[in-house]
Amino acid sequence: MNREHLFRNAIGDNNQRIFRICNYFFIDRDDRNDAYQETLIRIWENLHSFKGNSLLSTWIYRVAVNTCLSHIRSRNQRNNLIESTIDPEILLIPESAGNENDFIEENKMIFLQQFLLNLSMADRTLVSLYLENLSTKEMAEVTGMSETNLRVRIHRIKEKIKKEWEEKQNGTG
Amino acid sequence: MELDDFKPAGKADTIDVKNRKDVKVDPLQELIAEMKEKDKQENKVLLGIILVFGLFVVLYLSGMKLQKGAMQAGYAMLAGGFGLSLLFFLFKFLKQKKTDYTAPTLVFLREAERRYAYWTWQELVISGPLLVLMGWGGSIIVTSSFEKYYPGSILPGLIFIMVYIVATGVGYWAGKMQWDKSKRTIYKKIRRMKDDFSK
Repeated sequence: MNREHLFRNAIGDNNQRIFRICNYFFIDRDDRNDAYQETLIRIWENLHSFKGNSLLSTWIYRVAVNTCLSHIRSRNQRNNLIESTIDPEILLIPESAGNENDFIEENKMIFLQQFLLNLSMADRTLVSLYLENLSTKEMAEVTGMSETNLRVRIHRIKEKIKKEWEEKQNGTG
Repeated sequence: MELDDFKPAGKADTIDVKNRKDVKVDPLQELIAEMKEKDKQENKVLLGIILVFGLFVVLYLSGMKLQKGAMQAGYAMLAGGFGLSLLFFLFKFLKQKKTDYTAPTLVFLREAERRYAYWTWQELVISGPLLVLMGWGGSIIVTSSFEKYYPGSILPGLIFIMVYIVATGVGYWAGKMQWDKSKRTIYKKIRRMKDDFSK
């Protein structure tokens, strides 16, 4: 199988994942799209080094996370939530935001974006991988952190998001 | 609301990335062009280093052939110093070029920290003896060249060494200023991220 074919297969199966990971890191559309493009470039460049020691998806997550962190450090990440740059499609908000369920969903996703923005890079990475349903072992493979450390950190993040959501609902946050 | 409640739960798979106008999903054409351009630029830098240092090596090797005694030793030291520096810069350049995006994030950040540091202690340990070798070779050449004006005096050699030390210091300082301007912020960000992942 040649490089181009391998690349097309790898991207074809993991395109959505890469896009979502970039979306967890960047709220700005241009930044996110740049990171997405850059991730594809890194995958193209490094595909020959994939030896099959881990799942291709885990390997791709690793490249995506490293590329996003790399992109963050080279650009001034906007810290504030800028309404105009939020991509409703990526926030998974239905276009016909008419009924109550859609409104709740929209609120939920905006809350998640705000929550992510206030997390440290390591925690943001962990949340993005957790939301992608990666096991602790896979998350450890991606980040290089110990599984014990990961469990503790995820637990803390879970506590934090629960508390902040409750505060938001009670109007105290 | 739990963290698990924010999982896309299959819904995200309905995002039609392929039909998004703002995302280039099939970047192969652009990608290859971009890669070629990047390689071309990097090769230019590499060629520049090889040319400058290689020129000095050739120059001092020729000097070595033409001279005798102490002068020959001086030229040999300079040629050796530049030759080894050339290897050092080539190694540094190739290492910098080869960023491993497939490594676990923590390893990736540690590597990035090393790459973006102004001079690591390992680099200082390597470059120190090279600078001494070149300075020593240079002072021998200067002392020998001025032998007929100042017979038996080491003064010209000492003056050269002082100028050499000042020039090296100024070079280091200027490089540091440039690093402060272009890389310090990135370096600090990398360190922060690495510390965050290591906690």
